[in-house]
Amino acid sequence: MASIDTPSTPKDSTTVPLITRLHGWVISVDHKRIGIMYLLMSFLFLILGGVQGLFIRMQLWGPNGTVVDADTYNQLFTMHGTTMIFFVLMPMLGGFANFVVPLMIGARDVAFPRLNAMGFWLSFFGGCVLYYSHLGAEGLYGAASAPDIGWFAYAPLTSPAFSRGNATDYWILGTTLTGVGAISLAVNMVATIFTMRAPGMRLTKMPLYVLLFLVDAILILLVFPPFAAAQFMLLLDRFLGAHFFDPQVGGSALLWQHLFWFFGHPEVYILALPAFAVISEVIPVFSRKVIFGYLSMAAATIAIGFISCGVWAHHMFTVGLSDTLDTFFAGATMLVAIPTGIKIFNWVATMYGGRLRLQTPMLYALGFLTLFLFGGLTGIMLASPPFDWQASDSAFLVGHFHYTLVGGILFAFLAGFYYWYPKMFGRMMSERLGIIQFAFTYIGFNALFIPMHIVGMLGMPRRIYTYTDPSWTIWNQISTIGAFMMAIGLLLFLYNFFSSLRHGKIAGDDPWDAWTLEWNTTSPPPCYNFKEIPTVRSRRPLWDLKHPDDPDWKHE
Amino acid sequence: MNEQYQHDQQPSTPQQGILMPRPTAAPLVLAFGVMLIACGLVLNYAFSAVGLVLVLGGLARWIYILASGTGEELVPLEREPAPVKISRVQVEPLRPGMAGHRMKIPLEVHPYSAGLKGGIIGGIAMAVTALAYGLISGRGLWYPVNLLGGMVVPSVVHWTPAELAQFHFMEFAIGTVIFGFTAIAVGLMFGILLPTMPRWPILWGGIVAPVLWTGAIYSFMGILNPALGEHIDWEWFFVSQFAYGITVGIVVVRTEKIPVSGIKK
Amino acid sequence: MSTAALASDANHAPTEPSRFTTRETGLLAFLCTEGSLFTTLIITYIIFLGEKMPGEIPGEMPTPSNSLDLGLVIINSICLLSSSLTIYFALSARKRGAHGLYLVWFGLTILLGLEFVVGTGYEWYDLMTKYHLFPSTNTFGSTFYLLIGFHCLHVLIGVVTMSIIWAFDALRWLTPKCEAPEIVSWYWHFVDGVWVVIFTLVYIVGR
Ligand SMILES: [Cu+2]
Repeated sequence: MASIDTPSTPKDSTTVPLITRLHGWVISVDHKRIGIMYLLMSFLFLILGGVQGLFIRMQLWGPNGTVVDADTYNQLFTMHGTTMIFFVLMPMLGGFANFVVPLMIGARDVAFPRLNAMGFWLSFFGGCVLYYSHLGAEGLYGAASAPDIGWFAYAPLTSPAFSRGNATDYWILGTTLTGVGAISLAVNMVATIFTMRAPGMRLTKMPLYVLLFLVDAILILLVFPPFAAAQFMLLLDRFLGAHFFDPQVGGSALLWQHLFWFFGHPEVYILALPAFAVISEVIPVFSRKVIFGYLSMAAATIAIGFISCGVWAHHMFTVGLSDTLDTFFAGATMLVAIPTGIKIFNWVATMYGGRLRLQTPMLYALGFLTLFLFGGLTGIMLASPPFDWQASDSAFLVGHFHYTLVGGILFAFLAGFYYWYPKMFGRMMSERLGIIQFAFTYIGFNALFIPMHIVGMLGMPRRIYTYTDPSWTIWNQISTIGAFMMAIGLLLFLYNFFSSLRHGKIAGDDPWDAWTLEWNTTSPPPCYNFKEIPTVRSRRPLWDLKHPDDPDWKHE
Repeated sequence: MNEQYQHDQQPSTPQQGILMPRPTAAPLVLAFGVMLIACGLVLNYAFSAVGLVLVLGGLARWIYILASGTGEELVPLEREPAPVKISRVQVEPLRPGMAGHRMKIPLEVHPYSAGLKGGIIGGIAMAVTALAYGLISGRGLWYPVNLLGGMVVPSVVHWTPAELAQFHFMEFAIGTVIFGFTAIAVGLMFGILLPTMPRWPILWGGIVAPVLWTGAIYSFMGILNPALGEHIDWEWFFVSQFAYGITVGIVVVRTEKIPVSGIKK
Repeated sequence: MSTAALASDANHAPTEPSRFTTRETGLLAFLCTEGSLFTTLIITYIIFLGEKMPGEIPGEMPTPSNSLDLGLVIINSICLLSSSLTIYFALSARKRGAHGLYLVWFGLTILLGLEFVVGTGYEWYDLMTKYHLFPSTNTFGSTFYLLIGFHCLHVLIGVVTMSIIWAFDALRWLTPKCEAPEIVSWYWHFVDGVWVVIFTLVYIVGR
């Protein structure tokens, strides 16, 4: 090889001191490294949020629990929700977007690599600010040391009168910083996907994964700013004595709910679309069939994007909006079931008649299908105002959204981890551990959240730090046992992830016999991804290569 | 923010290496500075001052990189990926009559218009039955319409029988929309699904399907909206569903089938 | 066993030509976000327009009609809107290669933007001293300072960015192909467009 500039990434990692290697990572602007850092960040916060969840479950083990006191309990569920949404699932989204999308479209990096690095660090520091509240939030009053306002921070809980000290300020600043990080991620994704696709990859020839991330990025661009604006108003309320959310002086506590949920509902879809994206890759590859109904999938995705911006007030049925508004938002919410149903049908139709390979990614994808379907169905129930009036703010609701966010999204991301791990590190994750982990996670998950539906119907509200009704005990105990099983499952996953770095089987370039461009380079890919930018003619360029007698482009 | 790396910036002869963005600490420093500025709001304004210095430093470095064009470096080429192997499994060519790869089945389907037409006519049959029930049972012509509206308008369940018998525009509008939409959508689905059912498609569509969904609605209603469920006369409910199903089935089956697009005979 | 590789260049039709460059697309995406942000702020302003404090005596509190003064704002608006024209002239001069003319027009744009920031500062000073209007006074104060403040911040950011580009261009550090002036002009037109909406809402309709 010819003479070369000094390489910035040391090649032989064993001879380089750890500090130099770490330095190489933190100053990196390579989309693959930033993607992996996003994923590591999500692991860190997954452990923190998971421990908080376990404490909640231990406290609810029996009536009159005494593991934590009421104030601590308020802090626990606030931090648990905020952490899981903003600092676990969002970074996972960022990781999968960053690592896979440029490889899949045949680009050498994202559009703005330095901006990309800045977005990651803003997200990460946002998490640090939130957790710094444990140390620095006491302020003058010795009040709560972590935010205790619930993850959606309703006014007037956040007003200076009810939330003394600085815990709430740390919550505002931390989530806003991550929000800015998410926006820079989205700007990057939009520019990358629109302008840096490989020759021949027209917008209609993109893998579904890329299309879903494009819609996702556009959603981020549209709904994060209203959230940031609301956070800013709250800051003005708290620091300059403004009256946005203070009804006593002409403000409106309801405005916060509208602004928050205008962000909060699409946020759920922002998290769900990447999950759908992963599933849309894994299921075809492990069924050995092309995705069923590409166009209807694309249309359903765009429809979900649109509709999800017009349903936010279904979180506010119990507020007492007018019948007309309730009706509108209930109808719009039920509409979401149509595109989501189309997707589920298409995934099932993709598997139908295929030669299924039940390896770990596919297991998690199947887990996703069952759990997400269940969560979606209880979602339709809750979309009906008469039912919502009964079940809102009960454990039933908690069960519902955990089925969508954990059973749906986390399981899909786990499938993604097992699927792209060989591409990230050049080694396979242990298949045996993966199956054991699946059993623990899947059974534990269902044991944890099915009882919540039942005990919610029996009348147990969410966010109570303890209860006295002995008939709720058994369900709560099953939940707690399930929580620990799931914790074991996730710990096994982390163990599998880190031990496979050294001990995993060498993967090779294309271990799954897959069809998209990222499998057409080495594992792990060189920092330039592709020596020569490939030209593609169909949505499955590697299928075309492997089957020259029957390429896709003759049929698409 | 105006920076990018695009692969078309260099000629396509990557012999010595490839031009890639050079690692830089500027984004990290900038982000850390922004965090300090934000924290200064709560902690002490000295933090904001330090943060501002860091932000300016990071920005200056960033702008320097952009303006001087030193943001890229030549990265040496690494190992080439293994060439993609042509699959040993050859794909079976498409042959009519043999299910296989890329086969489209069924060969002939009912046109979408059949489902639409069936949905509309079936909907009319169902509406007539339901309204007839309202009149015959003496509860009033608008009774079923108001109940339908009650699916989304919560206050309907508290209405008195007299109120339920009257005409209400809101419930009428909502009921019509729900009814029309569902009738046509289900009709479309019938049009697509019926031909795939074995032996007697009309039997499946006319009896089995209505029994299934009436049963489902009956069992769910007790949980979803028990108050509304009490108002419903389930025998008549089934009769109107049956009228719908059988009408749609007949309309769909009587239309002529058309070949699926893209299949050459 | 035979192998295959994807054609790297070939005589194949390239990607459908994207109408915008990467940087332009990035900026458009950013402007979408900004649009969403300002829409939220504007809607918030509308929601609280004419809202009274419980038990408020009419005329006791500052309102848009008794405290907003049109005189200075009209001068500010003329400056800001005409700066859209000057930056347009600047860029067409740049395209023709008239470097000096470009610097003059571009510098004028910066000065006009600066006038707007300073003018808004004067307006705020007046409001605070003469009318005692603060963010904490009433919801009008809260929403007014939020909306105008956010917009003015955007003008300020634009002024700073343009000054840096102007200085670099004056030193001839940027190549003639550099997209930065073009892109900052898009941002500037956007900020001006937002001002038209805000001005109409706050100073005409809402007064
Ligand atoms: Cu929602």
